Amino acid sequence: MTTMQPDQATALGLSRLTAGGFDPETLDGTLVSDPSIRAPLVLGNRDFHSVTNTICGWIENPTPKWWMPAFAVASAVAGLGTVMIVFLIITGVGVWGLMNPVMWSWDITNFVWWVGIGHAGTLISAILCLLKQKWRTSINRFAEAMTIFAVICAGTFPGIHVGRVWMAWMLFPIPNANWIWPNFRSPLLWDVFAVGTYFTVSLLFWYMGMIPDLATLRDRAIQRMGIKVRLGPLGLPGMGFLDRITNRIELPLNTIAAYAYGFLSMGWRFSARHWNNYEKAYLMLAGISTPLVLSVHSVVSFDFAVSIIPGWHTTIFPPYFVAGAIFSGFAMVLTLLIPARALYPGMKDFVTARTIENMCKIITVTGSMVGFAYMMEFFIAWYGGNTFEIQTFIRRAFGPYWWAYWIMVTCNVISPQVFWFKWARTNIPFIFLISIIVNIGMWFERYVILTTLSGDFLPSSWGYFSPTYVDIFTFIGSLGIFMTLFLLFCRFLPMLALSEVKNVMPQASPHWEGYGHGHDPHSHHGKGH
Amino acid sequence: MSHAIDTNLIMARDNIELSEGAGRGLSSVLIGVGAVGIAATILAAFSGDEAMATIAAHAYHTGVMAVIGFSVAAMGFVMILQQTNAGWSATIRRQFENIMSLIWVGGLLFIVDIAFQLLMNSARHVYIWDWMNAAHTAGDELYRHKSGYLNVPFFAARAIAYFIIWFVLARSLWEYSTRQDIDGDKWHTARARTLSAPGLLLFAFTSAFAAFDWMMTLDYHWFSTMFGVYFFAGSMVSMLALGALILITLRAFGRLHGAFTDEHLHDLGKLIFAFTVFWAYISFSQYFLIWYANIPEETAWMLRRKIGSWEWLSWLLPIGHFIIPFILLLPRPMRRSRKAVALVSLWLIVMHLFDLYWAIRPEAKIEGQDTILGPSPIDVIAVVAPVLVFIGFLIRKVGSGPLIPLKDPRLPEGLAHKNYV
Repeated sequence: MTTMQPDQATALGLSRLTAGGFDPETLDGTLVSDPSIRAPLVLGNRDFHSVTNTICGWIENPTPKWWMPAFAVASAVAGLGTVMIVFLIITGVGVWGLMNPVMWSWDITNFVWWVGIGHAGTLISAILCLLKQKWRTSINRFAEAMTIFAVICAGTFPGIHVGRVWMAWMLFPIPNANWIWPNFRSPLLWDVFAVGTYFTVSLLFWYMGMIPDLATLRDRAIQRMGIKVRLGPLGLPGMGFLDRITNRIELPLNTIAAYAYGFLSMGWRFSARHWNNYEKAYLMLAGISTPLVLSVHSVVSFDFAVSIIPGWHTTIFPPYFVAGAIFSGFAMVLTLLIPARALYPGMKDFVTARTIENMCKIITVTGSMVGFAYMMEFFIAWYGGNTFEIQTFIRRAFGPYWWAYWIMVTCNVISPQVFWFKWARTNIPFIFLISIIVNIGMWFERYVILTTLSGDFLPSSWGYFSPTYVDIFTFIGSLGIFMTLFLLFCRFLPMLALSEVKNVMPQASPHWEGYGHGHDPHSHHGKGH
Repeated sequence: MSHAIDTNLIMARDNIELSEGAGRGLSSVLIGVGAVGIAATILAAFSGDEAMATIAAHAYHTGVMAVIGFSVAAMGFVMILQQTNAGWSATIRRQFENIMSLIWVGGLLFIVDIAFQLLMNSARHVYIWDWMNAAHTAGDELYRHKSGYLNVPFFAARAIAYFIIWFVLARSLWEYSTRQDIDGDKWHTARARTLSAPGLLLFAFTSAFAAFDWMMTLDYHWFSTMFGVYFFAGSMVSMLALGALILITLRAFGRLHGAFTDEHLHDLGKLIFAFTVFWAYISFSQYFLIWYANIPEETAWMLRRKIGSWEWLSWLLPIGHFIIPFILLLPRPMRRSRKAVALVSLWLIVMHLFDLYWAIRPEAKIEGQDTILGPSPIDVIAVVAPVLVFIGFLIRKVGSGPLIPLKDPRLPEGLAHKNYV
């Protein structure tokens, strides 16, 4: 090693392993522990063309067999949720189990849970971008889409929770004839601003990042514009007659796709000037999104922490909520990513075992942060010496809702600790299981916080909240809305960021020496550039 | 872009080592001045009246917390770098390891701190930790409740435990890094990574409880779950600023060409910026939640900082510790200018000292009186003296070995580090 170009080290490190001959202990070869080697980010000796073909192929190839049944179930559940919401609106919030003193329950639990899930996408795209974590490129688009859909689900709940939905516009400070303004000192109003800003910026970030990839899809669709596409078979079980009909219908889907992607790609022409603007905008949006990742859930935590209710008012709430949000967000990304990775051909080349392992580690870190916060809360509750505070915490752990508390602790604090062991971080079905357990735990965390209300200052008004079927089905319905949107995304939009994935391949280095040379580190030595 | 990296030039001895005995003079002067300052503090504590004694003790305690914060935060930073397999920082990590390895200086200065407490409460009724004063806590129901935690034997045991944990962690990380300089075994890096995972967990708990024990319990009625994070955030800012100052100074003395480049400076500037914002976020959240809920048992601590001259001093924190460095470090060219980063770093270290001073010093009070003792000239000497001693030892430490990890397996990556955008 005498002379070397900048970034050649990275290119070298990335290409060193792709020559093959992996150690079976490292699964797909990416779980190397040798600190002198960087694991490759894209496997399978791919060139740029095969990356484009694989990722665009998921959209352009015939609908996978599993998609239609999955979509049918998801949209049916979404429909059920919508029915519940309509029923709630025409009947009133009394159909929920809300009572005095638990006046916030599943609705706000669901809201906070969904907002929390919506944190992973922007963390991956913004904070991991600023930290130059290249492994994020294979999951960022996926996670950003998930973020948007989660925030949509989150936004529904406070909207319908207000009771008179037709008055929801009053949440916004709109000048009106009655000169009535929202209460600017209320954290509920800050929520409107925080979640609204977060949604807007996340949507912009997601869409802007997708423009070059949409242009690729447009260009590929234009090539096929003359070819008609047969609608069937839909593949719905027990509906063979539908397949017979749809098999006869031919649609100009490629032309529609060319126009739709053309419209969405906003005249992107892959010119150097476009890329220059794109990179600048990307970095700026990453910079703007980074404080948003922290601010949104901090403001959500203010909903509780600015009050003087024991168990709600504690100063660690803002960072503790943010850590919990990232924790649940990453778990949800894994819950969706692991099946997608198995179902879409070639996805394992991008979402490597190491990417999954890294996400497991983040889950352990953020899960431990949450555990740290639980411990601080308990310690300070005792140390502060406030009888109400102490009793609230004892009641949480051993009172009527003890089961929810211990589900929370088991799922959130204990379960992520399994990832200290390498076998757990590399066993994909096991990771899938833990990711679901974590999401259950994070739902219960919010439930535990909210049911603190059941032990009021006046023991005579103490009560026990039980959900009604409307509570339960509205929540399940929101999962359906989320999955419906997500399946549509998988079907019609690029799941992986094409240009970003290509950027982290060894071929992207200006000093990559062509196919067939890049694998041999010795070919670089002593050449003197 | 640019020029090829010539590894032979970078790894030349006169680029990555200081000459024999460099900085010794300055180091001796700083340690000497610091020692004189500590002596002056002790004199002030034992010659003056009770007010002077308690002021001197609290101000000295502030300086000691800053010194401990430097080393402990540096240890956390080194463990984060090892745990995340960071490549960019390979060439600058040694300087943070230097700061980390001086945890014993913090320990020694802390013993002086404790000696202060022991000597003073036998001489007169001046306490850094009021709860140690039996006369003060007599009949205090809240203290009785907490006495299982706040008692001298348990307090001492905890302090010893923190220092043992920190010392063992820092020593092990230092050994891995310096042994690799000699034997070139890349697996030392893997070992450091393995240690860092449980190490970070220990770091989180020890630093939080140390902040509780040594700062929050100065007013043993008051409590805030955020306090540990608050101490961590401020210490990270000052530690990164100190590291940047060392690296920039080494560049000014013609060292680390190609090893500490504008690219590393840029990223270090980003981290200082990020932690400045993080500190603001944490301290704002803490203040804001207490202010909004307005519960007397919590607001008492904040209100003490709004009396007399403390009121306008309190305003200095959001402005000096957040707004000014935020504006200065936001433009890209500033983070790539050695002069600018050096100036802001110096400013931030001063601001961090002030932050700790603001958190500790208003707790100085005279037994049986309600007066809040305002700032005094002895404060400056007592706060700065331990810091000078620390920097004196740090200069010695920097000169005592290679300035970068010589055989780190990620060194090529660190040398080739570029920001591109």
